[in-house]
Amino acid sequence: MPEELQELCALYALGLLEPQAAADLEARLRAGDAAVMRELEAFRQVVELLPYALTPLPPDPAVRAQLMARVRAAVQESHTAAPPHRVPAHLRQPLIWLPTAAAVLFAVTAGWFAYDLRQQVTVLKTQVQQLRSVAGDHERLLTLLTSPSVKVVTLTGTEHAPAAGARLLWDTQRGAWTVLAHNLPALPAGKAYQLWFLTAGTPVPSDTFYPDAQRRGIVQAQLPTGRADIAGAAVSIEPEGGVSQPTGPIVLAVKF
Amino acid sequence: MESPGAALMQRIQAHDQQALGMLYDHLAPLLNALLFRILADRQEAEEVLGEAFWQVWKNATSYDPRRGPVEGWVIKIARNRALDRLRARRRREAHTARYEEEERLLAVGPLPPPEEVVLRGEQSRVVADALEALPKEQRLPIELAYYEGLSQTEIADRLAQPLGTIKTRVRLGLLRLRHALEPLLGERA
Repeated sequence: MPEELQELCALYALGLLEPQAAADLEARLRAGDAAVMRELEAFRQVVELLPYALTPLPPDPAVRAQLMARVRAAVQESHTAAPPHRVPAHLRQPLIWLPTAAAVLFAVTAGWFAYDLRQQVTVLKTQVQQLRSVAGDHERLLTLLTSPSVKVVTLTGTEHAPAAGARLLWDTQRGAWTVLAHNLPALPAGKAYQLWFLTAGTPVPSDTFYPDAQRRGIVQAQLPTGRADIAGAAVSIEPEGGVSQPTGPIVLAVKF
Repeated sequence: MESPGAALMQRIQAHDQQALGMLYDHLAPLLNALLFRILADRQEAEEVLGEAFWQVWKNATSYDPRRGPVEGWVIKIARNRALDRLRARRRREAHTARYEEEERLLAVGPLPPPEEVVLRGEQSRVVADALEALPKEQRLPIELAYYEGLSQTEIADRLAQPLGTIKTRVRLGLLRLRHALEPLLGERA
């Protein structure tokens, strides 16, 4: 393979290729260029192995407990919201499977109770931590809302999300924004919402965020230093991790 | 050979919570090390770790095994989130660290407390040896791209080298790694 093409593949695998060059390479992939595919795949695997050079660092066990509690809560919520379950036709046949199922269920249940009790204690501890965290968030929000240095600005939904809206709490003393969005449309896979500072020139990127089950989202951002030309705010749908220039549809916007 | 995460991912796609816990146990120490390496902040690293696995749970169906092993997919999610935070932090803070300090960090990396050091597996040792064997001028641009998410122009500025030189060094560095890691690449294919 020519060195120049190999270099493009190496840079692409490391995420270093400029957008146009990356698009050209992707076009070769789509066209079925087997040599490029092999080269990229080999470099991709090398890049994926890089973190294995680090010494593993076990996280605090609370991270796992919180994750699993969050997942359980989401599953329970989806079960609550789900329509009544209809028993499939093959299970409504004469109940010949019932005795076996009952025996298995009894055996499993006995063991499960002991395990589940321990799990519940962990979950409850985690929930207490989460409630404390939520209470802290509410207190901070209340402090912000009653602060004389905070201005409130409303963002309205664009044609891409007409039902959406948001309040922007602008702490002029700290130079910080807190954006509370509601009725956000569900995100496609691999996408996130990204906040933008609108200026006289190109928009300045800020953080990404995700809506919760109630389609609400909160993002806090520090105003970019040295920019006195902030003229508005916008929220767009972008690839996860965010981008440096808007590429997706704008769902919320306001001009000051 | 199928990656250890592949079977777990199939179960996660079927909403198996226990499988998510197992995938977490399999990958969390590695990911936490990566996130700590990028963010240099223990608390932030663990926040991103939790968020990354939540995203794995929510977007499990978007994982496509044809695009690589599960481990790589999860690492990518976590790394992207960490780099997102790092960029946001850079926007807030003036980046005043001197190059010498960064070079020291890149050379050594943030060290975990001794009691948390876990013995490296064979795979980790091979990758670490391969990286250490790279000439510094090839290793630095690769690490700046991977751990700091810098663009090729930013790397050239940071290392005070022409852009063409950086591109060549990245190519040569990845080629050397590819050669050194060949036995592992076969295992992951």
